[in-house]
Amino acid sequence: MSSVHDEIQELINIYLKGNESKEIKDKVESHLRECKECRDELAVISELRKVEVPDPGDLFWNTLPKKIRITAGEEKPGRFSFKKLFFSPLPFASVVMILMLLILSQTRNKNINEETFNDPLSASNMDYSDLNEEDIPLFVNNLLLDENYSLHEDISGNSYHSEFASLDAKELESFNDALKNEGLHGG
Amino acid sequence: MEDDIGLVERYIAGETDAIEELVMRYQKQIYAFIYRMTKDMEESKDLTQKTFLNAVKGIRDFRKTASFKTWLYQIAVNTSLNHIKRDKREEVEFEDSVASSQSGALTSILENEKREQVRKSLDTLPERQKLAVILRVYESLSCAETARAMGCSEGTVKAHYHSGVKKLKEVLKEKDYEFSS
Repeated sequence: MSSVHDEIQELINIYLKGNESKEIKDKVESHLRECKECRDELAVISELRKVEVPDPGDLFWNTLPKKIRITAGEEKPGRFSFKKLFFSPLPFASVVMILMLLILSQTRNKNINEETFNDPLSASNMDYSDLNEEDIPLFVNNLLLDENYSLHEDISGNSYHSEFASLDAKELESFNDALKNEGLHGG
Repeated sequence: MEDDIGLVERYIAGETDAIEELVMRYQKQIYAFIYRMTKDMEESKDLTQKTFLNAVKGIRDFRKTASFKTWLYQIAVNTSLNHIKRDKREEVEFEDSVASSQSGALTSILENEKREQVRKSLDTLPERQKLAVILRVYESLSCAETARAMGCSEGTVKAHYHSGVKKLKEVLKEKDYEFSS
């Protein structure tokens, strides 16, 4: 296919509309005289253009613009709506996913907490049935030591164990006395 | 007269009247295009309304680099093709009823038959060829505009269009159609 032929085929629709320039008109008509293929195409397009579309009537044309404005006004562009959020499939699925993840993470945290605080060595879980009466004061003293000091840390993260390690025998004795007094007076 | 993009911007800014102007400007073209695709007046009216509503919903996605008209045709193409795919069987039944009911004055019978032949020939084309022919011949869209509306390249549009016109000519010749001189 020559480039002139291609160009004319593109111009046939403009030519048929009848509002082409004189230059285009002459160009198309001169090509049509020589090219049967383009004459055939022109004939088919001319026939196609004769097929009319039924008019739906003035009522339709006059009311459609208003109808579109009113219907569209119910859902303005870009306006956020909860209805839209929850009734569109994607946001709805996202909300469900987030809720499921929250529930799952809560369940998992609960399990972890249970595991952590069911330590068999912790004071609350210990079995005291084998203690005899003589052992009880010593046990209570040790327990006070444990609960008040050994599990605590200062703000820099150092355990009191390290402080005890640096005390000499005399200091330890006076510290022990102080603890006993604290235990007796509920300090 | 205010251009399309100005009206789109006004609508987005909250002036709802601007959408009425845009609808008035293109409603006849969009209806005619949809009618040629569906051949059903009532459905065409509904689909024209649907096309404009879809356009309004997605108006923020409209990129001002393309013309509003081409963008609107793109929505009309998608709306009508979706409808045709969904209701293909019912459509064929309706077509038969329209054909049988088309009777008028004796003088126009022959002319009506000729139009009907052309219309039916158009329906024998594959969907994409039919679309290219309708957009180019009836809607007077340029090759580039048709390509944007159909979502394909200009080369593809040319191929569909020329194959369509060629096939129409063959179909009409088989039916001994008399071309006007």
